[in-house]
Formats: sequence, C-alpha cells, structure tokens
Amino acid sequence: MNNSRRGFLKSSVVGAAAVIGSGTMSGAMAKEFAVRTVKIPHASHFGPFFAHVREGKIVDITPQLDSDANPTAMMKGITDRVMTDSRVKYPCVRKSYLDGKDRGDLRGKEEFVRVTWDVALDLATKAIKKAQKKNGNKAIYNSCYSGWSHPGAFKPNAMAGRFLNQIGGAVGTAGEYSNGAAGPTNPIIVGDMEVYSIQTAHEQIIANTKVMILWGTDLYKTNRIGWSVPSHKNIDTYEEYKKAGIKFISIDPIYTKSAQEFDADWIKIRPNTDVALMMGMMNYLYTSKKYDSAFIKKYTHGFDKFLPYLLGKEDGVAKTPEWAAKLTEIPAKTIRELADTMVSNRTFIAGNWAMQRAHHGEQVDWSIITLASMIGQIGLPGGGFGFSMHYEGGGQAASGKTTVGGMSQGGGNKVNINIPASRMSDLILNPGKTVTFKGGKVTYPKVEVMLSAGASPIGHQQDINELLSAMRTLDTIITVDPWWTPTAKMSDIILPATTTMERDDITSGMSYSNDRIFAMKKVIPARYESQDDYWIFAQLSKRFGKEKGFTRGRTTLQWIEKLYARSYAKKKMGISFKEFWDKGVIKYDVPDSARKYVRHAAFRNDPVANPLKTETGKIQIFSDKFASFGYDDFKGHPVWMEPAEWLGNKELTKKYPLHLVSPHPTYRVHSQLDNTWVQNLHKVQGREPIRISPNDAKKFGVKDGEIVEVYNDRGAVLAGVVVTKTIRDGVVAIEEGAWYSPADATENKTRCNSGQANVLTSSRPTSQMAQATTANTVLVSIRKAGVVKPNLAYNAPKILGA
Amino acid sequence: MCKLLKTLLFSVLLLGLFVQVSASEMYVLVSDTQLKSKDGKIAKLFLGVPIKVVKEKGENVEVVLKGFLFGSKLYSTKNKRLLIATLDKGFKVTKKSVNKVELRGLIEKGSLTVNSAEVWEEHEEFYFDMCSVCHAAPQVPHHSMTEWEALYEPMKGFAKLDKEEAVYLLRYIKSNALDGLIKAKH
Repeated sequence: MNNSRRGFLKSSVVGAAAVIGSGTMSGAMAKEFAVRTVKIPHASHFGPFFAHVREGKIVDITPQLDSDANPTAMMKGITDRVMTDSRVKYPCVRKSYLDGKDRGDLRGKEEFVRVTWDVALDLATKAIKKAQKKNGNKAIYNSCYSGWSHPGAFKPNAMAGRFLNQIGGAVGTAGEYSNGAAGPTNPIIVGDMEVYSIQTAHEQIIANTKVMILWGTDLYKTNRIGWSVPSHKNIDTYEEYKKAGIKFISIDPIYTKSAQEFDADWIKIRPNTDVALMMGMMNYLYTSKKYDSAFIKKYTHGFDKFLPYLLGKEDGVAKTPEWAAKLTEIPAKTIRELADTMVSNRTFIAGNWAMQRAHHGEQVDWSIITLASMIGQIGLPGGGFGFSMHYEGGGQAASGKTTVGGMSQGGGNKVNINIPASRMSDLILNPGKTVTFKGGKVTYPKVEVMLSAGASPIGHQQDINELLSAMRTLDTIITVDPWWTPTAKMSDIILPATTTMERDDITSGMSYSNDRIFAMKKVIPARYESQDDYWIFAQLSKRFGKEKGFTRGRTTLQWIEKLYARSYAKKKMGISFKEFWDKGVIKYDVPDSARKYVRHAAFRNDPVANPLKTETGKIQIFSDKFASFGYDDFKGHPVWMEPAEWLGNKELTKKYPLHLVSPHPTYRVHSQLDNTWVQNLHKVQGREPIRISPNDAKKFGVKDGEIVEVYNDRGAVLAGVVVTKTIRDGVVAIEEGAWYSPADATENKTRCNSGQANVLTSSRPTSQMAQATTANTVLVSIRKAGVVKPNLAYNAPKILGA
Repeated sequence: MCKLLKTLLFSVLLLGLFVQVSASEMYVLVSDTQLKSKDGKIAKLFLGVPIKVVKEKGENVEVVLKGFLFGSKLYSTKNKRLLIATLDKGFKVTKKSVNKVELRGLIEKGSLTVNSAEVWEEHEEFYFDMCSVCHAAPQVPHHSMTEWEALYEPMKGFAKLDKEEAVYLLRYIKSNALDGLIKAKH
C-alpha cells in the first residue's frame, strides 16, 4: 500500500474518531445519520467519488475506492466549490453596460446589476446580432477553446461552439496552450503528436528500463489530476519502478516530487537551455562515435543535413559539451557522463510539456527525438522517449474498448478563422494584422464580442495586463460560468451556470486505459438561479431560431443515453443504460496483451511495412516541409536559439535577475479549486507561494512565510515566500492558476494581490511557426511588498439589487 | 463596343468550356461501385473517388479513372496513402508511367454524382460529432493525408471510436485532405 492512500484513509479515520471521541455524536446518532444519508456517484478531474447527501445537503465526499487507487485531497474541495460564496448567484450585467453607455474602459472597475434571465439572454442576443450586422460572424470571438472545465459530456466550450456554429460560427482558436509548440511539430517529425499518445506500458518500463530521465516531468504531481477521471493507479506502479532498481535522473531547475520519490540524481539546468544540453550530448555522442549509426541510417532522415550545424560547420560554433556547459551551467564532464549513461543503458526519456511552453519551444521535443535516435533505443522495450508519461496515467495499459464521448460542437462554422492559441490579446488589439502560422498566414478580423464559457482567459492567457487592456476595447464580453472568476468580473453579461454536481452527466476514465464509464449524477438541486450550460446555450439558440438545431429535440438525459449507446458496454456487453445508471460505473478488463505494448515497436520491427506518418516514413531529423517555410526562427532541423529572456542575458538580468517558471499546480487543475479551502494546504498568507532557494532568499533579504512583490516590466504580483533547497539558484517558481486579484482596478498595471503568474509572463510567441505560448520564458525580480491589501480574488463583486 | 462584344463572347465560351469540363468530373456516390471493362472485368471503386465521364451510354456512362497501381490495388497517390479501387485479376489498364495507370469502363449512372459534398454528407456530420467534443474541429483540407494520419492516431482514442468507426472516419478525412480526392476545394 502506498503512502498517499494510507494517509488519506488514516486522516478519514482520525477525523471520524475525533467526532465520536468528542461526544458530539453518539454511536446511535451516527447510525441514524448513516441511514438518512444517500451516496450519489459522481466523477471529476480529481477522481470518481460518492457525494453523501443528507436532507438535501452534501455532508461528505468519499472516493470510489474500487476506481481510485490513490485519492487526492483535492477531491475533498469539491463541496466547497459548489457551496462557495464566489458562485454567480443570478444573471448579472455590468452597470454602465445595462445603462447603455459605451464604457468598456470601466470593465473590472464597477458594480453589477442583478437582472432576470430574460433580460440577460436578450442583451447577449442583441450584442451578438449587432456584431453580426456590423462585421458578420467574424466579429464574434469564441474564446472557449478547450474542454478542461470538467470531464463530463456537456463541456461548456462544446456548448458554446455548438450554439455559435448554429448561427454561422465565430473566430476560434487553433492549437492549444498546453502543447502549442509540440502539437504542430511532432506530427511532421515523428508522424504522431506523441503528447497525447498511448505510452509504453508500465510493465515494460519495470522489466526493461535501467535509466529513466525525468526531463522536466513530474509524474507524481501532474498525474494527480486528469483530462478524464483519474484512477491514480500509476502511483502504485511507481512503487514497482522503485523496486525495479531503475536509476532516475531529473533534469530540471526544480527538484520535483517525483525526483524526491525516486531519489533521482539532480541536474540543475538553467531554464530554457535544455536544447543546448541535448546538442552538447549529441555532439559528444557523434564525435566519440558512441551513437547508434545503424539506427540513424535505417530509421531517420536528414541526419546529414543536421550534422554540419551540430559540428559548427554552418555557423562556426561546434555544439560541444563545453559550449553547452556555458549555456546550461552544467559542467561539460557531467554532460559527457550523462550521454555515456544514457547510451550504455536501456534508457527511457520521459519528456514534459512545460519545456515547449518557452521561446523556441518547437525545438525541444524535436531535439529529444533526435537525441533518442542517436541513442538508438526507440521502439525497444523500456527505451526511447515518451511525452505523456505524466498525463492521464501515461503507461497504463489500454482496455481496447470504447467508453463514452461527449456532446459536440457540430458543423456550421463558416468563419474559418482560427487564431493560434496565445494570440488572444493580439487578435483583439490588432484587427487587420497578419501573422504567420504553420507555413500559412492568419489575418485578424475586427472582433466586437467575446464569449467565454467554463474557463477563465484571465488565467490561462499570458500577460494579463495586456489582456485587460485588450478586453476593455471590446463592444461586449459575455461569460457563462458558475463562479465569479477574474474573467467574469471583467465581463458585461454574466450568465450563472450550474456545477456538475447540480445536474446529470456522463464520463469515462482514463484517456489511455479506457477502462471505466462513470455516471455523474445530480447530487443537489441547482443553487440560486444557476442553469445548466445546455439550457443556457439552448436558450440563446432559441433567440436565433436555432433551438432545435442545438438540442435536436433531446433532453440532457436523452443525450447521455445516446452517448452511452455507443459504448462497448452497451453494444458488446449488453449492459442496459438503466443498469449502468443505477450502478453508476462500468468497469472493463484490460487484456494482458496490452501490458506488452512498446511504443514505436512496430516501426522498429519493420519500418517498411509500418512507416511513420511522415514525409519519408522515417524520423525527420530534417524536414523539407519545415525548411520550406523559410522562417528565421524555425529551420529544417532542430537548433538552439537564445531565448528573449533567460539567465544568460547579461543586460536583462541586471534588472531582473531571476527566471520565473510557472509549473502545473500541485493542488489545482489550472485555476480550478483556487476558490476552495484546499488552497490552505499550500498558500502563504492567502497568496500563491513563490519557491526560492536559500541563497537567493538571502540575496534578496526575504524570509520564509513573508509576502513579497514579484515584478517585471509587464506587471507585479504578491506571493508568499517558501524558501526551499528544491529549487536551483537564480530560479523562482509560482504555480500557474491563482485567481487574479487587482489591488486597485482603476490603476494601470496594478499589482495582483493573489499571485497570478501570468501577470508576469509574456505573450511573445514561440516562433513564426507555431505561435505558441512562452509562459516559461520570463525574468523577474523581487522586492519588499510594502503595504499589503487583502486578496479579494474569491469575493463576488458588488451587485446592485441582489 | 465591338471589343466589349468580343470580350463577352470570349468569356461565354470560356465559361461553357469550364462547365463542360466540370460536368465531366463526377464522384462515386455508393461504396463498391463497379467499373466494368470491355472484357467484363470488374474494378470495385471506393466512395468519393473522382472519375472522368467520357460519354453517356444509356443507363451507364463510359468513364476514365486514373491512379497508381500496385498489384491489384489502385491508389490515389504514388505513396499509396489512399486506396481507391481493387481490380479483378486480368483487368487491362493503360500504363502512363511506372505505376501510373488509366482504367476505362462503364459505370451505372446512378452510382455517380457531380456534387462531392453529397458523397460525404453523413461522414461530415459524424466527423463534427466525434471531433468537436474537446476542441473545435479542424478544417479537413488544411492538412495532407499523411499529416492527418499523424494527428488521427492519438486523437481517435479521445473520440472514443470503435475500430469500424475509426476506419470510416479516416476514409472521409483522407479523401477530403489537402492532397486527397477533392481537388476543387483546395
């Protein structure tokens, strides 16, 4: 039994014992309460659970232990998220907007007015129709690009897209924030996105891997949550990793939870220099003739075009370990030893996603793939690379059976303009501007209306002050959300949505294993005046004469039953919907054959019969397609390019001597749960923690537990100091996702009282190719906070008539 | 005035030529449509395959189909990305270059359409139903067949497709890809 599960159960037992011991609840009363309590199955990004409901109130949340091997504390925050005072209780409209004044500049600065659903929906309809009339549907910007809101079938982004498609479409988003650089690069290089692909099975890692490189990845942390419903089985599997005697090496500016659990060697790399390290290793492997030339010849294309760059024959700079040492601050000796270790042992490189969320992020996975090609173990059990071991229980074997999908956006989008993710502010601020994208071009239209549902752009978009300025130029901002998120507070029309606990839904777990279907049953009635996303967008569709097109005449339960009907459970196992719904869960067996899966093995075994889906059928160390784009910041082969902000920039570091990274949160899915008590587990005086090394803490004169101001030219935030030896000198970390809270909304670039990292990040794109986010390319400094105001991130704004 | 008339006449002639050429291009509307050669051999055509109509012959039309032949399998491209027909043994083809061939024969008129959108109507609805749950559906002609295969492999799991559905959808995507069967769209 692993630690986390034991800890979880222990704390539950202790809690129950404390209640009984205190005499507040007799055994008989406890029994009576238990009788009167119903357990309703539901599921979330944090795991599947039972909501315990007594007399219409949620009194507890307990995990579905047969589907969740290692429950997390985050699940316990779900009740708080439903009951919180940060819920949007009624449809609201910003005061000036309701008064018909054109005062977009007052967004985020003035009070709201409670209105009826009809008034709010009619106003939203009027704004959309006005934009359509002015500039067609391309005047509508659908900012709801991804379905991270919850794992159910009625994802707010899908509902929003479906409504907009019914009325002719809107400007949308191409790509994503998570993997914006690797997403369009990897398919051309290795014939698969790799970041969302089934990984070599854990069993093969345990049996064969001798060395695992944790290249920026934190398997323990990010696998705690899931796109679908996590089973947390991987935590148990990692115990087997430990017993298998695998040597772990963590290349990371942070000594992560995974590095600690696996007792990994720590290579304290300078942020954004990983590609330089890879180049140094590759140069060494080539010049020492230790690389696998047979693999390169048989399975790759274009090594000959990459080699002159690697050896410095193109630019006069040989990418030697000594060259890399200056950039990475890793000694050349260590670089050689690392390469030797990797090439002489069965080595698995577990990559991550954060490295490619940096300037020139396209180069990262490409360089890892090239390095892995030189090591020559791609397609061997326990060797090669994987870019998804940290996601959705990567390494778990697949059932091979169909679970359930969700309601779709459908067709009908005639606008056909999708801006690259990360270009949100650019789009709003620069109508008519043309940007390059994946070899083509995108010209921004003039957008008038922005629709946000189930996510907060003031959270996931970089350079929040730039975004706030952009949002204040729009005609109308409509937000559909259960909570007063930072985006809701910057909107004109706010339509309160229910949480999943207030309605029925269906989902599955997990994306790779596909071995569960879960009922997400309604636990309590809708709170206040909130309505389901489905209802809200059906009502909007109705105002455009498109209600039937949106609903197809179905209730939500009929949609759920329709989605279930496509599953293996219904089609092959004959389990009726009623039986499933009564039980709340379907479990599929995972065949033993799936535990033998080795990624790229088919290609390795017969590259002619099983070519990669690339230009040549091989790994493209050089790509003619990419070379043909003719960009100066993205070439035909991987290269190291100096990022715009990094610790090697002598000028910039004079003013901003610290590199800020903003990794995935430990206790959230992005911004989700930030408005719950769970945050007490890590916040420092109610602010997002900033991790800093003891040397840097001393240098800047800051102490553990102190609130400091972190700042650069783009803005400033308050954060709570955590001094720790688990971060290297020169680097600080603020986890992404804290809710933005302006100290004084009337002031330009006002300080964020909460610690939202994206106040400090830049909206600079990765390159002319992917135009992806560069959230991890940021320099900052720290100073004393001075007078500190309360963090009001989770307070509802002033609402007239409420 | 004379010049204007001449321009108009020329434009009308050009338009007429365009209509004629366009009308000769048709698409297979029904899976496994049979193309029968003079000597009675059969080639089975996949959905959406473009053919050129040479002339009408009662219920049938005489058509020409081009492709790249490997054994009995005809592909749309020389890198064999999309199978478009399977041929009876002994089906006589006209060789144009190494693998490039031309097939000639009769097809039942009702199995063809001039409107490629009609061919893919059901597929398109399925595509949007399956591929716009987590994100907006990408425009199919924006990627080549190879690129689509690279994107499709990881994404089909998220779309919860069974094996049959996965084949059905990939056929639509590849047929409508940048280098697929529907050239006119690009």
